[in-house]
Amino acid sequence: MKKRIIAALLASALVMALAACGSKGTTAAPTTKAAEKTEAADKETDAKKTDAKETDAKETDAKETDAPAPDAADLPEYTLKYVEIGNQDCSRRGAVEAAISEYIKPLINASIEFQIVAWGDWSEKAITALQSGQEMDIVFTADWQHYLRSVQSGSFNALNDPDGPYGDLLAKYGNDITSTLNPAFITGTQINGVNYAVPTNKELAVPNGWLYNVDKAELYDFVPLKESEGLMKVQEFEPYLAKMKEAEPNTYPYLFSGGNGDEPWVPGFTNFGVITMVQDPDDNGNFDETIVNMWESDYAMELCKTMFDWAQKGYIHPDASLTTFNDSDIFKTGDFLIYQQPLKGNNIKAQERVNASGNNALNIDEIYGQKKVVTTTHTGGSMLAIPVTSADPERAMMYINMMHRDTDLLNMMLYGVPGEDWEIDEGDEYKRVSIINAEWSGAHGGAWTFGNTALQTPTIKEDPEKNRLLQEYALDAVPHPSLGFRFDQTNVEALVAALNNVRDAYERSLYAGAIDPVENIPKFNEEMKAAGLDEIMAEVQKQYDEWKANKEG
Amino acid sequence: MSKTSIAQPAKKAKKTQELNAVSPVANVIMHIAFILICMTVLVPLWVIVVASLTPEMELIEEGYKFYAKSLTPEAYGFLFREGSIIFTAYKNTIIATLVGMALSVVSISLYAYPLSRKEFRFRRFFTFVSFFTMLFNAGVVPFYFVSRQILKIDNSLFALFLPLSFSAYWVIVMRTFYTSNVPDGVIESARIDGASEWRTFIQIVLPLAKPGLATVALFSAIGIWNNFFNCMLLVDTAEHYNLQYMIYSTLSNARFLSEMATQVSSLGETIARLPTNAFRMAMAGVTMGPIILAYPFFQKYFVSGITLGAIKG
Repeated sequence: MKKRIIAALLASALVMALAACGSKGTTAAPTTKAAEKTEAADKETDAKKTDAKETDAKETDAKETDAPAPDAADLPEYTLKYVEIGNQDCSRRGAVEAAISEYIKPLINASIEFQIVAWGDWSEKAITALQSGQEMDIVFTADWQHYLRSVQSGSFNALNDPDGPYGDLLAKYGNDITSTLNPAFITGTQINGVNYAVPTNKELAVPNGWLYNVDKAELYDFVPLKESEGLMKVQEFEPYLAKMKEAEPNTYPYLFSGGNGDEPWVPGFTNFGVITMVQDPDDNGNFDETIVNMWESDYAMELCKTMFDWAQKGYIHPDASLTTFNDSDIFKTGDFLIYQQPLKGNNIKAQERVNASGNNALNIDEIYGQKKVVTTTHTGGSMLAIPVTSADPERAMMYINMMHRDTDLLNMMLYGVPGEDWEIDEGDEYKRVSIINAEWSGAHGGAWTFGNTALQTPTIKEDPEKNRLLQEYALDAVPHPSLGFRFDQTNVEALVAALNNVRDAYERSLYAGAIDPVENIPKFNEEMKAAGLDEIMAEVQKQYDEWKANKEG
Repeated sequence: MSKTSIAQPAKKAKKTQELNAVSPVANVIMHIAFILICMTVLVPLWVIVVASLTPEMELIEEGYKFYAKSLTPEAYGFLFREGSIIFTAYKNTIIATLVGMALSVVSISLYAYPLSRKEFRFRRFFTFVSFFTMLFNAGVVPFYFVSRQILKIDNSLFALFLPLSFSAYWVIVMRTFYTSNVPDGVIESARIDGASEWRTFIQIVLPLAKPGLATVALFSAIGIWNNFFNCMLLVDTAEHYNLQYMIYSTLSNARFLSEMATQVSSLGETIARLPTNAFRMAMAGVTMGPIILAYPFFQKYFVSGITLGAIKG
């Protein structure tokens, strides 16, 4: 009996200690910094717009002038441990580490070690590593990979908190990050006004829309609107889908990928799509900030009616409602007319998908269904954090900063050892990269998981202007008022789990037209209410109001 | 062979059935039942093999089938291409399985034997110590911490077998096996003849416990062969991957990425680069490999192990 009491006491002491650690990170953050930051960011916007056009020239200059010049020799030797997301480790890692270490040694007197954690293992492996206090210097993080939770549990160092143990790291060592990054990235990834991770400089405006098969479109006289000409609605495709189905009865012309191209909602407003806001501003540019249950909207009913009708007529694949449905495979064959995808302007998504599919005969173009609006989920889609277990966060920040300045470093991280894994194709007029050994470039998470993507040299398969276009595309995007809001579901964890169970039963089937919406949407809503939807909604509303008051005050 | 010899006398006297034989009707029904049961195991294997040899485009357009129109060894060629880590993974799995199996037979038989001896004063305590670990464990984070930062078995082959080389469940099975198959009298006579504890254990007890040891060996070998979790958690370097982890991570990446693709705009491109279906199937086929051979090898011990335990236990 005595032993049990002691054990219980120990356990509760441990829990309390953990709780104390968790609260430290969040409460210490003063709120005034948010305001300061936006002010500073605004000043930079103008400068940035002109910069973007001549990034390349400017960056190479910057390398010589801005580099923390006297440091390298004074710094003690250090090995940076960099945990990156990706497919699998590969046998080229050692060679790449050696090449990068040799390169950064004279600059920051450090060498580097990579650890690639597989996409599917991330929650178990990388998060366990953080919790167990394993020493790490740079860690990938994202809103879809526990960013908020890791910050709340105190796993990450604050990067621009002057009162933090290492001061304002971003200001001290992150000049190239703050001067090149679209300010929306910084504000969008703050938690209580503090950044706990450096966002990757990549596409920022990601409107939903569709890819379409140009060859099939010509065949069936389908002439969709270009992005500059306006947005389209999914229902407008019907006559052409009908034509294709009639001419090619064995195909399913509407290729379903799980979402919808003209969805009017803010993506990722909460981690469960049900509770959200209207994304696009009205004609006067005003946003509607009412928090809604999207399944009670007329839009959802109309959409699902259309999908149900299309599934009946055979425009949608009968397996589309299954999560195992492999749309990329069908995309590869080209047997479709319309394919829903999130887009990023200038036909880049279409290109990327064609390259990745390996079927270069595909002729794909884009149709847009949403306006360009910047939302939280797209600012926090890929970030790098410095965990509290790092022995030298300053050095880690120097390295992250280099990834926002140094094309040579980025190319090595991306493609491997120059001359062995890749080389610059001298015959190519844009001097793009031709890959010799794809082992390393296929092992890590890819170009969009680190640094400034505009500085990376594209491969010969890609548009030479791709990375610059991606960032420029966002310059005239409007920030949504909810930019920076992250719902913390700790208080309603059990309810959210119950809600997700109900969603699993209905959502995909409704979207894919497998079940009748007239009968099932009301049932779905009823079951969600029984699972506690109203309480969750009240919690979202409460947190949103608090967040908003905090931001403005 | 034996059928014909039985059939001969049966022709002469049709009605006389051999003693203990089942009736022809029951025989047919049982054969059909067992054939069906075997099919449930063999058919998926067949589908995997066929799929691994089908060209990718045919798989996409027509799905999985029992026969393919055209066959291509492309997936295997890609799997066994030069410098592929599948070779290393194969080697690692085999070494880990053999070493781990030997280690678990030694540790389990040594731990279980004293527990089976009535004269051992602390047997209840030590039984409880091992039984306790079956009911309670500390969880993943402490396991991760201890393995990596105290034992430092991360990124080595030890990570693949050491955590699996002892099992409380098999300790209890072995203890029961010793008590029921090694009579106290035999041990007593050995002692009277002057044998030491070690000599008794090695020369008298172990030979009697062979079926039990074989069972432990088989199950620990399969356990280590099939384990991907320890590799996932404790191994970061490709040169220490095992086969099961490679196949597990290919599948779990595919699942994760397709779940996330609608939420994360940049993932769409990554997902399209995933290994082909044929490649995944080839990998599944290859991982079955030598472990299938382990069954017939252990079978004779295994069968007698079951029956011995069944009658006397």
